[in-house]
Amino acid sequence: MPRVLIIDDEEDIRDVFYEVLSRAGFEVDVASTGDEGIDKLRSKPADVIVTDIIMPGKDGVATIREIRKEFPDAKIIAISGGGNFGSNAYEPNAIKTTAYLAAAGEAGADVILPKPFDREALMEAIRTLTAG
Amino acid sequence: MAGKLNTLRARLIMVALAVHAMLLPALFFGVMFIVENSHRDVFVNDVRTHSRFLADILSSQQILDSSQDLIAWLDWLDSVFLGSNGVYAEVLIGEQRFFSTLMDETYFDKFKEDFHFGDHGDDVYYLSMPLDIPGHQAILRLGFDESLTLEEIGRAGLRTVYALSAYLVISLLLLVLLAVGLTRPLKTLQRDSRAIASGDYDTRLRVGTRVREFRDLAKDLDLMRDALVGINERLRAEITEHLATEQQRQTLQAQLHHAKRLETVGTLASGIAHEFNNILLPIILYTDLALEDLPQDNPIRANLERVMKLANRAKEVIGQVLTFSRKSVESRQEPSDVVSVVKESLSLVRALMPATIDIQTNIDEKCGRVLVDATEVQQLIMNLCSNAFQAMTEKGGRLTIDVCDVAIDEDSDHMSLRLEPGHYARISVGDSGKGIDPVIRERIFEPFFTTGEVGKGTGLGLSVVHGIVVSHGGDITVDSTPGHGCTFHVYLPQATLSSELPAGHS
Repeated sequence: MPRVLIIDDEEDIRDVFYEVLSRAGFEVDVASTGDEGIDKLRSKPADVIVTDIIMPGKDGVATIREIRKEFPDAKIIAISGGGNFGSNAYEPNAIKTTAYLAAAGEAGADVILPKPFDREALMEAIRTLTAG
Repeated sequence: MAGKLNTLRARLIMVALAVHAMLLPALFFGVMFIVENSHRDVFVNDVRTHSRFLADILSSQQILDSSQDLIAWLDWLDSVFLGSNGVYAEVLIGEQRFFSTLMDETYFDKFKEDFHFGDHGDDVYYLSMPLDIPGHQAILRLGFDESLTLEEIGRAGLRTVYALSAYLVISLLLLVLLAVGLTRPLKTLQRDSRAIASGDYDTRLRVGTRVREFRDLAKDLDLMRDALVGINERLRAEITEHLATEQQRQTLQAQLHHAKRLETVGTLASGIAHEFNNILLPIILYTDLALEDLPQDNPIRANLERVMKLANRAKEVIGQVLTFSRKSVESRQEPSDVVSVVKESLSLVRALMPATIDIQTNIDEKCGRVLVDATEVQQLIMNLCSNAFQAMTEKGGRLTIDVCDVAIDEDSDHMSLRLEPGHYARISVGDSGKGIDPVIRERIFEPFFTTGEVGKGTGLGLSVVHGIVVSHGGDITVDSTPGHGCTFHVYLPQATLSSELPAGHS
């Protein structure tokens, strides 16, 4: 069965992804930070990696870049909440999600899903990546 | 009183009076001194000449030997009283005194050895003279009446007083005329300068006199007035210009403030949207899982399906908030025919509007292509029309949709627009509703700001419109008179040749 690694700082999102993907029959592992996710990948590779883009500490873009460097064949889905983010979310010059989404794509994400999305969209993305 | 003495007239007259008070007595006494001296000299010379003549005659007649001779000799004394003003004639020979027979007896003892004129108590001038008679001590004593000469001197004094009085009167009259002549031009100048001071700048300064100094002064003051009027006009112009600049600055500042406010609200909204999306995602997914777990006939499904529907609605609302705050990089803009985009939207609008709304359009077909995301522009038109409709739901009304070509250059009357010079397509959507209260006009583009009744709208329609317009590099304005509806004007930049080329359209 394909193995999926979830990297997200929000516990609720990790939990719901775990539930959704487990039910679909995937083997699921979770990590709450980018570094933790990379450690887990080193010990046990995953077929698909689903990572949040906006996270405290090492953000999604940097995480994707590192994974892509170490595991060139990894399938990566980047997800983002839209709007501004981070500690400077309410400042006028905060980096906009658009720029981040574009950066995630450049860093090597295969699919970018803007939040919120329904179950079908997530499953469709994973199916596409694992089929290839 | 002191004030009155400080006038030019009073001072001139005071000085003149002071000068006259010293000059006139001096003149009087000077004249009198000369008159008196000359009269006295004439008188004294006369009587002395007369006396000497008589003494010479008496000395030459040596006929004193007989009494007959003596009487004849003494007759000579009578000549003193003939054709002359003599009053006293005596010859003293030894101890014997002989008087003229013509002499008034009252004078017999009056003779005094005193040869001064006019100041010895009587009006007689006495003099004595030795006679050269051999063998005898003889002295001639004579007296002459001074009164005529003294009267003459008195009359001369009186004439002098008359003359000096006339001089005083005439000179004072001339002086008054001079003072008036000096002060009248000054008063005229004063009156005219007061008129100028009170704002009548056209008053010419006149003096009404031929005195050159005054004419020169008036001319110079006129020059000064001209200069002041010039300066005044320049200052006025500067103040007007300054006020205009200040007003322009305030307008620009208000615009900047408004733009910053919208940007801040947008940033805030997009931050909140991000958080909400993170919350909505698990809600949607968990609800989906729960629905999966429940058998088709479970009554709880209905509730969960409502949760799902509401979560999706929340997702749409957040999507609209993000449209407001989003920047242009996200939309897919390509040169589109603005007229056809508007027409497509119009068919939808016509289908949706009830019969109570009269739709009028005025579309300039020649309006060029616009660099837009067609879907977003349709949304923009739909939102504006829906907004207009909401303003007219009660009574119905007229909805107008106009499209025209507008050229904006630096000098044109579009100062309030934050647009680069160039050609723009202007889409105007107007209604005949109740208009927008000026108080809330500043805030209508803010997300969640609504005047509609609770539950009638999200308050996002206009903020979405604003977001779309700004992301297209355009601007939006609103004309509104409360009670007479309002019109929104959307300016979208027309595509230039260079901006069209990369898109690959011909």
